Formats: sequence, structure tokens, C-alpha cells
Amino acid sequence: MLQVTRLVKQYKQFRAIDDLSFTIHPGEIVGLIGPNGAGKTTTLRCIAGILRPTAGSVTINGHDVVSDQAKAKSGLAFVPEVPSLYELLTVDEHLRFVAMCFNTIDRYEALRDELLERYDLKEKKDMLVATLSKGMRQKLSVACALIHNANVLLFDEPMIGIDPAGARELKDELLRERNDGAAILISTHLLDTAEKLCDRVIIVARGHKVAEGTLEQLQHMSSREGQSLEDVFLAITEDGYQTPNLPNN
Amino acid sequence: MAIKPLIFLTTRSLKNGIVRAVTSGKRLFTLLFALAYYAFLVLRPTGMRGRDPITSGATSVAMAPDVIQCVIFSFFALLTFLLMVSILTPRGGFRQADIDVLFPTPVSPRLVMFMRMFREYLVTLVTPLFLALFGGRSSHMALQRFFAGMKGNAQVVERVSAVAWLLMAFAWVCLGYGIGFYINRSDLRADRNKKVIDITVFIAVLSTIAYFAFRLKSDLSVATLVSCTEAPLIRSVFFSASAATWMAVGAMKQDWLLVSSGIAVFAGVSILGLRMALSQLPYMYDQASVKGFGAGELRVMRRNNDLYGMTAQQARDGKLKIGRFSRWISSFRLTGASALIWKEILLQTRGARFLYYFYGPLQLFMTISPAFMGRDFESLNILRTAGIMIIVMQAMSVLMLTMNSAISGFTELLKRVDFQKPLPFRPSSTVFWEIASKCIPNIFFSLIALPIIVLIRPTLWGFALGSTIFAIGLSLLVSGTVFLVTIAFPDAGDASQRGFRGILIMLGMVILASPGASVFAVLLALTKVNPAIAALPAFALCVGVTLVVSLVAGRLYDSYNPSE
Repeated sequence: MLQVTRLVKQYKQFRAIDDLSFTIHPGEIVGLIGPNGAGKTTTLRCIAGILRPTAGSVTINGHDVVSDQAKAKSGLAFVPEVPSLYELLTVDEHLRFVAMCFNTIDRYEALRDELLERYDLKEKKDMLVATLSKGMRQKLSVACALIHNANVLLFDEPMIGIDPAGARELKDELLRERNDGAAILISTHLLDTAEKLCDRVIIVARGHKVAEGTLEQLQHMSSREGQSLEDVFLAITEDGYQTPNLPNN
Repeated sequence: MAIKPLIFLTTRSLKNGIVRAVTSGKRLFTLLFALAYYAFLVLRPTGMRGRDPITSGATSVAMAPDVIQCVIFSFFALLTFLLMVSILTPRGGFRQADIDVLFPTPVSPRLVMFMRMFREYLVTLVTPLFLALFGGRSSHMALQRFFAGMKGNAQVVERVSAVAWLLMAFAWVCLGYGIGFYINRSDLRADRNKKVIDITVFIAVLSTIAYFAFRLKSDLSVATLVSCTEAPLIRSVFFSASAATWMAVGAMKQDWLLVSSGIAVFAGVSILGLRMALSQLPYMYDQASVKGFGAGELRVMRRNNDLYGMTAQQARDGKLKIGRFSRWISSFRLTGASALIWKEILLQTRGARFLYYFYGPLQLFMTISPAFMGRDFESLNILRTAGIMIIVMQAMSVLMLTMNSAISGFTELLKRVDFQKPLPFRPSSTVFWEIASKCIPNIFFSLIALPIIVLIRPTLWGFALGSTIFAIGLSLLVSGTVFLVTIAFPDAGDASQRGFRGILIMLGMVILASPGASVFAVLLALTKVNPAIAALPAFALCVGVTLVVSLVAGRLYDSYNPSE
């Protein structure tokens, strides 16, 4: 389970995230959507332990990501928007490195072959990451996230740069992980994907949470019954929209 | 054990990097060339290194203990200075891959920090080794003479000095991490702390220079120099050099209390630095992803001569303003290939201001100053010498300004090739205009220098005009050579290819410029033709060679694939 409580991230005078709270339960896919500069990537980076929160807390499976880092991170996987990988490792070595970091090297080989097969990376197993295309790197990044059986998964724009077959495979993977009990947070601009894939959506703007709920709840909240997530999103993020009092769970 | 993945990452990256360098023909060739070049620098024949002080009959002179102490202190003070200025930069040397892959894993940040410190310690240790290596046998002989002059305990002093350096490097690495983490956090308090440290280092350096200048101005002697290095101010600023000197001098005098004092200082500083670093450890990943990566990027750009990339980084930080001149150029409406020139002027006025500000006045100063040569300017010899000087200075300015403008400009061009290639121009035409556009700063300053020289010495008009005509042709040729070499070896990220490119640019310029330069020189030396006329065939030759270069480079540009 992932719990974010009153999270604040301040860069000097600029507050990128302001008092953000939400919870993602096991077996749930939640979409984090918002306009450019809303603080989505910063939120994911704070959860992943890359950025240190200025205030508030993030707990993963009950462990605080600041004070109990190793335990918190052992159940976490993070796929960045444009993954930068170690270019001088081969595909196999990259997966092995991640498995070693997460102490899951004993289960690595069986899982590796399955993931390489699933993401069309089998033939590139011994190639350097430097020689992979952008889409292949994205696939490898996803494979790295799945190599250690994490139960809290963070994806920053996961569908960008992946071919349609890969995107379909990734969607199936996400649904499979959800059914296996993983808590999944996806930051995305692709609203139709979010609509089809996510059980719940959190809309953020200028670092604040402006709405949270299922599509039906958001439609009701914005008086856009029966309309798409895109219409709801545009209505909620437009200037002048009055944010309702949201519960801080 | 959690350290295993970090060792795995380091060793595999190193192994794969070496394998990659030797399995591609171009990479292997450039690597071998670079190795051969550096081997030549280190192992070049004795005859090419100047006189050997020992075989040439120079004898070692016994030195007074205070002079020995001064030499030892100066050596360690130099190293202290280098280490001191490096503490202001963000620590860790993290890459974007570390942020995306390593940081979200449960590997302990403390372990990551110790690994980085260990790596940095090793790199710090070899710094003086590189200096000694490039000095080759000369530096070895200088050391031999120094220790020979010491008599008695030379061997002990040599060993204790080496130990002092091991301790000093470790102390500074610890202190660097402590202070570096402390001042590079992404909060306002860290900004204030950074300013305090910056000002402290600045005052320390400035007061040292002022002190030496003040003392040596009144009495420039060895005795004053020795007394300067013993002054409490200098000893405090260069505290680590003082501790290292205590150790070395203590060993020489067999004063083991002094040696222990030096060790105690290093131990204290190391513990202090480590404690500071550990207290700031929770901010390490944060500052690496917010600040450290930016600094690393900037370092790579500086290494690759990517002036435009660095300026773009400044723009992202809100530190770049669009000037009036740039706005004025922007208002022009041009069509066809001339748009390439328009784009280039805009980019140069925004991205390469440094070149204008630094090399522009330098070119003017160098080119105009020969016009002030001599008092009797009616003498034909002095007139001719001044004229030749103007031509030489113009040519040197071309080499400096155009070469820098072209290297940074073509680095930018290669990054934008996906955007520029689909434009409706022939590759050779694009290449020619790109080559020509890199000469604009040079032509601009040459044309400013021309009327100034004529105004100062009207009799020099022929030389001034001739030097300007030749400078324009030479500038085109230099720019063309830089482009040809850059497109032939485009991988700026590969250190061996980068080094090879630098050498090849120099070699190419000498070879390609020699026909034009020779014709100009022969005409000036053997005929009485006006220099402005003599410059014309040289200019034509330079332009001709540039056109050929454009054709060849155009083909390479046409087949260039940035993804390869």
C-alpha cells in the first residue's frame, strides 16, 4: 500500500507540491493527471525516494520512505518518463544489476527470460544499452521495474515511446499486476488510457490536488455526467473552477 | 551483501567500455592514436626534452632547512589550493542513470556515498602522478636533485611526504563531501551557506595573493619567499599544507611529535568532514537530482566545447537575456539559404557572446598594436615589419576566434541535424553556408580593425587591406577544416575520438592553409607587389580549398546519422 500524507516539496521559493495527500490500496490502479508543471513527476520522485520531501510523509507498505528507506524501497518499482539507463551495461547485466540491488538474484534467471520474451528483448540480451532504440530502452526500464516483484509500482508516462504492441503488453501487465495485488500509480497525459486503465484518478494543478475519485465521481463533481475524462479534466483544470473540500485520506 | 551491485556496476561498465573501444575500427584507431600521442609526450627521446641538469654538469647544491621547508610547503600549498577550490562543486558525480535506476533501489545511500568517496579518493590521489608523468624524466630529475640537496634523511622525507599526501587527499575528500553536501542542498539556507563558503574561499585566495604581492614587491628574494611561507596567515589558509609540511620536516629532523601533529590535523579534518557528510546524507539524492545532474551536464558540455548547450542551460535557469542587437537581427526577413546565415548570427549573438567579448577585443588589440611599432615610421624596413606583423596577428586571431566559433557552432549543428537536414537545400550548399557563417565574428572584427589601422598609419593601408582579405579566406578555410574533421569524427562523447579530433583539426589546418599562405608569403617576400594585391591569389586558393572541403564534407553530412 502507498500512502502520501500532506506532502510538500519546495525548491527554494517555488513550491512544486503543496499539501498533497492520497492513498493507493493493493489491487488498485490510480492515475495522476494534470497539466504541464502540475508537480506529477516531482510527486513520483518524492515517492521513489529520489527527492526529499520538504514536509509531509510517504509510506510504502507501512515503511517511511525517508526514515526507513531500505525497507520502503524494497517493495517499490519506478519507471521514469525518459529512462536514463547505464549505457555500458548489456540488457542482461542491467536486469541483473537491479535484481542484485533488490536482493532477488536467486529468482532472477527464470523471471528474466520471461520478461525478455514478453518485451521482445531476448535477441538484444547481450547488447549494450547504448545501442538500443528509445522504445527498447523504455521496454527495458519496464522490465527492470518488474524483475524484483515489487508491490508498489510507479509509472511516469509509461506509454510514451512504446510501439502499439508494447503498449498493449504493458497495459496487460499493469492489469495482471493489479490483479496480483499491486498498488499502481501512473502519471499520464493520455486521458483515454487513464480512463480505460485506472480505477481512480487524482487531478493535480500547480502542486495541489484539485479532484480525486472514480470517473463517475469526477463527472458528478464537475457536473459533466456521461462525458469523457478529457471533458471532466478540462472542466476541472480550467481557471475559475472551485475546488471542492477534498478529504485528506 | 549490498555492496556487490555497486562493484558489479563499476567493473562491468569499465570492462564493457574497454571492449567497446577496441571492437569498433574508428574507436580503436582513435584510441591507439591518443595512446601513441600521450606515450610520445611521456617517453619522447631525451634530445627533445632540453638539457639534462645532471648529465649537463649541473651539480646538486645543499639547501638550508628553511628553504627545503619552503619548497615542501609550496608543493603542498599548490595541491591544497586545487583541492580547496573543488569543494564548492556538488559531490558524488552522479549521472542521470544513477537517479533513475540506482536511487529508487534499497541500496543504502551511505554505501553509495562511501563508494563515491572511495572513487573520488583514488582520482584525487593520482592527480600529482599525472603532473609528474607529463613532466616525464625532467620532473623526476628535479625531485632527485631536491632530495640530493637534502642530504641524510632524504629517503624518509620522501616516504613521509607520500604518506602526508595520502592523508591530505583523504581529508580533503571527506571535507569536500561534508561541505559540498552542506552548501548544495536545494533550500534557501543552503544558498546562504554557499555564499558564506564562496566568500571565505575568495577572501582566503585574495588575501594570500595580496600578502605575497605586498611582501615580494618590497623585497624580491628567496629569504622573503621563505618568510612568506612561514607567516601565520599563509599557514592558516593552507592548513593542510602546513600539516603535511610538519610531517615531512618532522621526519627530516626526526621530530616525531611534529610528525604526529600533522597526522592529528588530518585525522581531525577527516573526522569532521565525515561527520558533516553523514549528517547531510539524507539530502544526497535530492541534491544530485536537482543540482548535481545539472552540474554534471555542464561539465560534459564544457568538455565537449558545447558553448551553445551551456548558454541554453543558462537560459533555462533564467539567466539569459535577449539583447537589443539580437532583436534587431531577428526583425530581418530573409529567404533561401541566407536564412542559415540569419539563424547563425542570431545563435551566435545569444549563444557565443563569450567569443565576441573575449576574442573580439583580443583580435583588435593584436591586429592594431603593430601599427604603433617604432618611432621612425617612414623607414621602409619598420613599415614592412609592422605590416608583416599585422598579417601574422590577423592570421593568429583567425585561428583563435574562427576555430572556437566553428568548434562550438558545429557541435550545435550536429545536435540539430534532424531539424536542419530536411530543409530544402543541397547538402554541400548547407555545409558551405554553415562554414561561411562561422566566420562572421572574424570578418566583423577584421573589418573594424582595417579603418582603425589606416587611421593610425595611413601608409600601412596596403598591409591592412591585404591582411583583411587573407584573414577572410583563411577564416573560411579554418571553419571548413573544423567542419570536415567534426563530421568525420562526430562522437563528442567518446574521449579518444574527441582528443583525436583536436589533433586532426590542427594538422588539417596546417596542411590545407599551406598553399594559400605560401603563395602570399612568396609574393610578399620576392616581389614588390602591393600586399592587398598579393592577398588576392592567397584568398582565391583558400576559398577554392574551402569549396572542395565543402563538397567532401557535404557527402559526409548527407550520410551522417545521429543515431549511429
